[in-house]
Amino acid sequence: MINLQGVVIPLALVSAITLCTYWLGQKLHRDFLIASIRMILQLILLSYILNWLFQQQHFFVGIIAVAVMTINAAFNIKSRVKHSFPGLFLDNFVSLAVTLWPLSFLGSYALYQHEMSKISLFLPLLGMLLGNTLNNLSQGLDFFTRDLKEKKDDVLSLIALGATTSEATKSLFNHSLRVGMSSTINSMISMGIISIPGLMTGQLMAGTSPSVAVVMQIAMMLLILAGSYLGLSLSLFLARRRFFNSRGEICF
Amino acid sequence: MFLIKRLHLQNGKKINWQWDGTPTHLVGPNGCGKSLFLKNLADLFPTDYETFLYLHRSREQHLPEIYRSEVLYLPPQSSMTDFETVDQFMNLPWTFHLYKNHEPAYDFQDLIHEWQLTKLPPQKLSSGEKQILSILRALTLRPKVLLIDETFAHIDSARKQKLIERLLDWRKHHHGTLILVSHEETGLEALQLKRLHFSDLVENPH
Repeated sequence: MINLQGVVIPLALVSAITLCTYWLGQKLHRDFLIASIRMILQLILLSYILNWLFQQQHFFVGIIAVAVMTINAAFNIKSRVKHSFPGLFLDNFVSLAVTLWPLSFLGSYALYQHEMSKISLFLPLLGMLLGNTLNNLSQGLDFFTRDLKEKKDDVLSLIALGATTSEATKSLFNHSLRVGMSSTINSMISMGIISIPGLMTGQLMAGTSPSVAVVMQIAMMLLILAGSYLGLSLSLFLARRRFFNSRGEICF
Repeated sequence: MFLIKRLHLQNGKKINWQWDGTPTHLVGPNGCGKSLFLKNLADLFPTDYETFLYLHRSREQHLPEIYRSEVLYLPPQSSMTDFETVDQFMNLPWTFHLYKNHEPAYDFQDLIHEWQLTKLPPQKLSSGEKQILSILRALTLRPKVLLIDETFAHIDSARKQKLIERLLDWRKHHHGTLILVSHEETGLEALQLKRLHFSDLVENPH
């Protein structure tokens, strides 16, 4: 059982640091204050929502929760891509829904078998996948849209030679995929040597044995890798279609 | 070869032109839209027009990739940042679906070796050397109409003459023709181009 003391001590520490940044004129105190208050309020609200959601037995309540989470993630990606384009939000939503929803079901089945349809198991899994894929998609898409505009003449010269749009943008597409996936790959490489991942830390602190926590973490990371790759590939594929018409003419 | 009526360029100008395929040198000042016209002729941008016939068929009736391989646009400068070797640059089109099961029309290894174009990585070649490679690569693809957008601008006169010989050979054996745009250019007499001012193609707004 966690008591409030677990929060009071870190809160006191952050308050002291915030005061220090104010006295030192580092202009960080406002950011620290707003970020801390937002985080606390959002998580308290989340706990109430999750408590309510987990008590519901209706399938459609789960669907609404999944849709809201995915819409939020799609908006978040849109706001992070500097060179936005019409249809970006819809593309993000479709990419996340088509790839991560089935993957979350698959993950729930792999981890919990007969309990896979329980909202209390499915939603946290989807949340983890969305949170990670969101970073991959925003980094990959941001790189793709920027590079496509910077290298417009190169793409044009390939199309002029008779390349299809996918052939003309193949190198950009693959480069964006590598850029988008790099954060997940790097975190996997350092995992267990430099860092103890969040899910595993939470489980260890809750008293789960390390061997059980490790299995859960491995499964989660593999799902994240698969989800990130599939989500990013689909979003880049959809994004590319926005920059050319059906004749392969350049529309940007 | 081309019948164009009221082709709307992205700079607001409208073009009317009936071209019988005579090799043509289109001249005009900077910013007049002649490069833009070539790109539209090559079907690289979406645009409106009243009539656009190529070989008596409208542009929509041609498959876009095949049309572009026949009416091939050569940009003024080719970026070679993605290539590690000159061979990789020259062979790139042969990896496209369109050219699968086709053979290059020419092998220009003699010129490439004579001019030592493989001595440096492609990124370190001069502008003129990159232009030479672009022209040679385009000729291997058997275009029917070559749209040359100032691609001769940085090539020295000795090499330009040899390139012109190859272009004449391509015109003779593959019945190809070309439209070249530039401000003013000398040393192209052997190509026997019909000189035309771009402003003659532009519809008077009044």
